[in-house]
Amino acid sequence: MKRKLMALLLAGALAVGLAACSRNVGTEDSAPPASSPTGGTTETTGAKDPSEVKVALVCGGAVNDGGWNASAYEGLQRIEETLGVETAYTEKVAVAEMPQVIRTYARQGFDLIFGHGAEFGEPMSTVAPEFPDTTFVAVNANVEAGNLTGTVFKFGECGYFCGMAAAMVSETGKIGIIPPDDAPNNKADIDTYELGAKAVNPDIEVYTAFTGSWDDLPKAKEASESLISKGCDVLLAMGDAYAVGVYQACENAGIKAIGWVSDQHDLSDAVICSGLQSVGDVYVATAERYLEGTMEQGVQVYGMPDGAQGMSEFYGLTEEQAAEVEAAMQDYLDGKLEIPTLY
Amino acid sequence: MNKRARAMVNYLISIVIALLLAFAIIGALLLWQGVDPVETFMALFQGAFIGKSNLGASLLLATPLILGGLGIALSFRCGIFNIGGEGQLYLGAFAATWLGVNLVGLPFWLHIPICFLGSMIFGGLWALIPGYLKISKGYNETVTSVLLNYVGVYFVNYALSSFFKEPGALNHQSPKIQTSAMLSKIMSGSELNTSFLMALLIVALFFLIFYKTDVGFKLRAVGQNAEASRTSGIHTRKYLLLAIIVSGALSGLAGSAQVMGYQHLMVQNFSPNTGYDIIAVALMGNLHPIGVLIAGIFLGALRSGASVMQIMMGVPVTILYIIQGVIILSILGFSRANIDFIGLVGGLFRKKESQSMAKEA
Repeated sequence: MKRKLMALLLAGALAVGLAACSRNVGTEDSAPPASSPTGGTTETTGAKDPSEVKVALVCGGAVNDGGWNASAYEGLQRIEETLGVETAYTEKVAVAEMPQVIRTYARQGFDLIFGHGAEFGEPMSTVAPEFPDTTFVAVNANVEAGNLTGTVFKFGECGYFCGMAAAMVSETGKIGIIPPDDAPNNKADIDTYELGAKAVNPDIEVYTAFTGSWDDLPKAKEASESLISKGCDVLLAMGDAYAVGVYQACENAGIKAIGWVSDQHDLSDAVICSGLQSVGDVYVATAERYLEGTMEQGVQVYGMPDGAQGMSEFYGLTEEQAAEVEAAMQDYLDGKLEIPTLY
Repeated sequence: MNKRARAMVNYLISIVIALLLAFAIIGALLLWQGVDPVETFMALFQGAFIGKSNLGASLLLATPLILGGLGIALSFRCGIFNIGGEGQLYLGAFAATWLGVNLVGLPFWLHIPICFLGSMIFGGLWALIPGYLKISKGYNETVTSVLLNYVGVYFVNYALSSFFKEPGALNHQSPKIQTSAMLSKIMSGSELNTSFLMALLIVALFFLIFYKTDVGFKLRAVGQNAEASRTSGIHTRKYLLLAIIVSGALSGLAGSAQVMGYQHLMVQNFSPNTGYDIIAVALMGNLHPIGVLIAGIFLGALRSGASVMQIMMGVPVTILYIIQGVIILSILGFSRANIDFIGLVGGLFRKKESQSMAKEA
């Protein structure tokens, strides 16, 4: 009996070994991508027929979060309305599932696939070489390859002016910021938030509380409460769905908040202004270029000079304060004010 | 008809009824949402099986479910309820990734088995903790193994954001494993790899050991009645421990198969809920290796078909989770109820006969 078991165990070892054998296909995907030479325009095939083009959007969060992912969905809808192409989207995709979802779209014959966020850079770099006929765009990611383009914002612009507004409104001399983590994209705005605030009030203290997620509402609320207990009276909610949690905490404590990505004054009266990133414009512009066949290779940078970033109306500032921020924005556009942006 | 075949047919009938019921419920839900149910189910089926790439994706997702499901089936059959598949799977995958990244210069025929073995050892040792506590101290293994899931998953997630994080990466992820630790693809146009063949072989092996050997018999005996087995001279504790360790090792293998097969690096939460899905697979497969194989492929196909369906029909993601839940619940409900359909149908035809028999009695 023992011998029989031994034989079976040996067969088990064989089974493990089998997975190792017969590797003729080997490491297809680790081979360098068959990319066209870098630089210059690559897609010179001319204009495409919109009725034959399918555009897909993959989001990490929910498209009704009222912030970052909602802006992508809005962009996709504008693409469908203005350009007349077929569109589809998938929301709430975990990082681990991204490659599979992107592959599924490519296999279903989608021509242009947007990944909405820096976290799509890596999965798209993996998948792009497998589908040379598909064009991949990773929004906010600093990536490029033959058929993969990244678009980035000039991170750091909005943070500066939000910081100015926060410092003007603050009475305690302490302000807070609640970002998800200190990834480079966020770090740029966190740093300039402090710079902008110090430009108005050099003695101001800036506190940061990370949530570790883009949509953990209860955690954002807890983080807000801890910042409020430290004496902060203006909070910048640098997240997606969790911004609502920050606003709730601010309303309860009777202090001010600043929104991010879209004008969030309609979500809460506590919001005195919002830093804007018009992701929709980026989507429409990219899709237009794809259809015209004029898509440039390399990372595309969108900032305030392109109208892709900016500030919302100022609700909680006096006219002089608002004018001061706007003057600073004009100085920046004229090149008189230097802001250390990421790109 | 002998008893076994009859039970088999009953089981198959119950599954068909369960599926029909599930699709009827989902159809009503879709109609209410204003989506054509027939078209949606066609998209689901097409996404699961039509075309090489779709079929490949289904089998790819099925592989870890089959491997882990076998482990759970084994432990449940032996009467030790290992719910800790999630933690064992993460630690197994962690071990395989670590070995895959850090062992440089090995030939693939050595590197791949080492990674697999590492994942089995880590998964097995993680399962040994609740197993040992159960056998020596009588702690409830369901509770301890579930709690250890959190420890395991968060340890791995912590590792991926600290000492095992790829320097400079934006996402919390490990470095890529060496090419010598990557499994070969077996179907062009899809990510299907040799780990699926390995899963098939392990199913066969499991079947042989469990039903044709001495050890398998003792394992089954312990599961049927531990007290009786002990009095008839079986070392019950040893076999309980063996069952939970092998169960953990298979869960670990389910994790490493994903990393070495197609993900090639580990991200945080790389395989969400697989450790719990394998329990559903094991139960749907009636704790039988062949059943687990079929249930694993079924759930894998459902997963992969659902994502295509979502794309083609624009159904919100949340409806997918409802669909999967309804199907799993329905199958479990019917298959566990053990309804004797043959008896029921036969009863209708033989009503008179049974009445006369009743009179005689």
